[in-house]
Amino acid sequence: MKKLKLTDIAANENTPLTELNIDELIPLPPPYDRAGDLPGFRQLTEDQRQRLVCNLDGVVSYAGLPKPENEAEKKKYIEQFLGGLKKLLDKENNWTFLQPLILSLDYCAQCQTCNDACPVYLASGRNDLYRPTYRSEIFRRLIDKYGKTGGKLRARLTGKDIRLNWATITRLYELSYRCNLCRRCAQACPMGVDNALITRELRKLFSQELGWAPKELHEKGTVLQLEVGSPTGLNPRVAIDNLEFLDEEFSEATGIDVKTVWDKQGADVLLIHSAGDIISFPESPISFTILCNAAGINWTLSSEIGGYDGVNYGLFYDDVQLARVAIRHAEIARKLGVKKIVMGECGHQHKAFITVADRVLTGDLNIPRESVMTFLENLVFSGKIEFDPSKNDFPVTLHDPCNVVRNLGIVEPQRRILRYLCPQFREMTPSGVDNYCCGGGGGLSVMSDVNFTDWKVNVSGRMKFKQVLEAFADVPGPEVNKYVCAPCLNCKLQFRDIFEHYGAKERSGIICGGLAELIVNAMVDIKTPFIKWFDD
Amino acid sequence: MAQMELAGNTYEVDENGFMQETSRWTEDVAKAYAKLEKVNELTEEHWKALNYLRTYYLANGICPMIRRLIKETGYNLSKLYQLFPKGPAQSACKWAGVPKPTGCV
Amino acid sequence: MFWHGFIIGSIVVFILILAYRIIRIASLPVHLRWELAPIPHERDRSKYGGSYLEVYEWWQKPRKKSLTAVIKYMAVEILLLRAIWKYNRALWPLSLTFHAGIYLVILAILLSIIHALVSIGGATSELLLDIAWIIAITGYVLGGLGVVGLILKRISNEGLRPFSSFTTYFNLFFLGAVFLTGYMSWMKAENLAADMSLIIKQTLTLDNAINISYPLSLHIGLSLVFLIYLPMTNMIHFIAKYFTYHEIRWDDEPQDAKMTVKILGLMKQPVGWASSHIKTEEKKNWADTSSGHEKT
Repeated sequence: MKKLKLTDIAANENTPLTELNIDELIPLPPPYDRAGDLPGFRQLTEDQRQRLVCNLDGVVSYAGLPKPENEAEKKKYIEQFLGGLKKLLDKENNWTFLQPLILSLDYCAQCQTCNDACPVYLASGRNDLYRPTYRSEIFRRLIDKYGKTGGKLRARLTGKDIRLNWATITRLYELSYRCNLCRRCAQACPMGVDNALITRELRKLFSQELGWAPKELHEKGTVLQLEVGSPTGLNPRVAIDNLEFLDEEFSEATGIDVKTVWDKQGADVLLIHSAGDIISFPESPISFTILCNAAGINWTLSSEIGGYDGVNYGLFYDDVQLARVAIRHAEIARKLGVKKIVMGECGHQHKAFITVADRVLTGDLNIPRESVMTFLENLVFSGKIEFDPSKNDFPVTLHDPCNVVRNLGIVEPQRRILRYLCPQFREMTPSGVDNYCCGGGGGLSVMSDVNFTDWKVNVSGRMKFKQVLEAFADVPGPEVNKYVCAPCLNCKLQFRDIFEHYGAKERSGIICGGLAELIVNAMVDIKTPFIKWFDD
Repeated sequence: MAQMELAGNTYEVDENGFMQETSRWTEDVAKAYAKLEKVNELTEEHWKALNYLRTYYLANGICPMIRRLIKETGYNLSKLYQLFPKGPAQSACKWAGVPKPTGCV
Repeated sequence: MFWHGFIIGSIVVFILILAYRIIRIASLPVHLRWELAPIPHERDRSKYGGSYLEVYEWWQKPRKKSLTAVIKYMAVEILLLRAIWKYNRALWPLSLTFHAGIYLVILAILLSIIHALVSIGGATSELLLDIAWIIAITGYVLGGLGVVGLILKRISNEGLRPFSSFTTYFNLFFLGAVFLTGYMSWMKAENLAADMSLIIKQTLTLDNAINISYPLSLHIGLSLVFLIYLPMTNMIHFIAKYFTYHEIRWDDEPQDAKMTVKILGLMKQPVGWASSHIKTEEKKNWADTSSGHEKT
């Protein structure tokens, strides 16, 4: 593996800085230990190499990055980058994160303590490019050089001079999407420096000033959510229609009357799912319908634009979009007159809406917001529903979504449920607030442009896949059905991609689902098994 | 924007080969996509699924849930994988000329 | 009068620059919440990283905060370098040696100051001076070893080398020089703490008899220049840490009335970002930009 210098970022704008080689990644447990048996990375075609900006690691996450024909055009973008860099440092344009940003920039002691906390860096076989400090230190030096008085002279005198050119900005853009924003590095930092925050600020600069953002997060993400209602493209009519269809399907399958409640004025609880669950994991929203009805909760979903999709991709890359989506959600709840809003099984919804946007929602928009974990815990232990834990007698492990656990400190409620309802529950190592990200964090799980999925399943998801296999090491074979409980849609999607890539279902008998499904599966009133291990 | 030649015409596609101009789709396009995945002939079973996908997309602006597809065609998931080697999202949607599903799906 | 002016002046400059930097950080606007578990003030939950958000309908329940847990956490972090112990064990012995050196030298100076104050009142304490004398030499030796060790580590370690700049080495060498001259002065003097205490007393009483000979003059001179230099560098992380921990990592306060006023003020500021999804013909403020996107 080639050693990288910080100044390499500015060199040879058309050549990748590093090459990913499957043999150099950390090994996985058997039967996934023979690199030769695994699919590996998809190489770009010659045509793609010509058309796309591909100068980081052979992976491209956004085909929409411009490829300027001449120097003047490049210069224009560099000027824009500099403009954005200065806006990040001013109180008007970046009041939202100015203090954390400045502290994280100014007080890094260069001790590299954070490096080994990073699952991406570890999984890569310690590739210099993926050190949490590599992108941060380059950005820090650029800010010191161009954002502070006397910076250029100081940069030269102290040998911290990083050239700002087309290679630098395009590589920084792409590199800002090689981080899950999981903040494991921030936990490890003795100074309290937060490399995930620096990464997010970098993404913000590109999005808010140059209009560069992954199309799944922006154009087909927050923009679609605010206009149509959901990044999935579900409009209100189709959302209702789909759930009506599912109500019917599951009424038939379970033999109990499944009826999802919509737009009930004055309900106690507004539940906001991730709309992707309706499409990709329909058992999840249906489980909530079953549980809320069984427990006699006065609840509702909303069919307003944005009201039935709790995702807020703004958290990953853009403060303005973050605030817009959060305010939209709060306005919908206010209109319905609910007492509280309950998050669906979606990690970044939790973080964006419960904490980050708490300082954007003023007055009567600041409606109480509750985690799905405490909501479900209360429901399970309320005594209103009868359970038979022996129905869940299969190995279960729990994935901790970073945004719920490390970021919000919601650790135990979901565990109390699993200890009660799943006799073969076992922890991964490490777990709780020390967990590893699924590898899809920071918006990566919904990004799939060009060959980006290969990177997610091979590199960022690697530590997690390893952990999952180790948690089930006592029952490795496919003859034992095993369940990874991931109470977060983004994590589930990442697990789905990983398991598909490695054939984990066929080779190891592992599937992934949410928390509510396990609860419903243990209900005495549900006669046939609710969790389906096979598709037929 | 990437381009791709299918059945003698050039189409705009995304980096995963999904058509970007749904209205220019023809049955020949579907056949050409299928050939690339080594399915040399499209049977009535294929067309049943493809036509449903396309009609649903044009009416609703989104691909149908897999459950709907299963219910509507009567094929189970493994049957769908037999017909469409990379599955309903990666193969069937592509062959039907509709954009790749995105956004937490 | 040179020494009086130099000593007092340096301390005043140090305090002024430090205060300026603290005020600069403290006066930055309220930021969006960005807490990170574990948060030690969570009385019943901090041992596993839990927070009050684990409580059903938390907004209706009283919060249980523990100040002692926070103090204990910070004490272990500051004195024993908890984070480095936990996440970077290989660096810990060197970093601890280095920091222990600094802490002990500061402690020796504090004891000398105490003795100086006592002696202005006419009393003296041989014991206090002896203790300070031992602490000082321990500090110089540990600090010096720490500096050497850290420099060697930074040069030899492939992970650290690319990130170590001229400034990093300069700061280490500078501190190393302070420790070295301290060691030399200690060797030369009969009891360095007694000499220091006398100098402090003479400074405080503006006594003209003040007379500092080499190498102590060099040591004190270097130390004072370092004192002026320190607040201009990122070595004031002992201050920054207060903010990164208490004001960011552990800031889990829900919005209250006082904060609302600040936020409403901030939301009135104009938004100057240039991307097409933000920029409009007339410059909007944050409040308008982030709401009013209802599709009708």
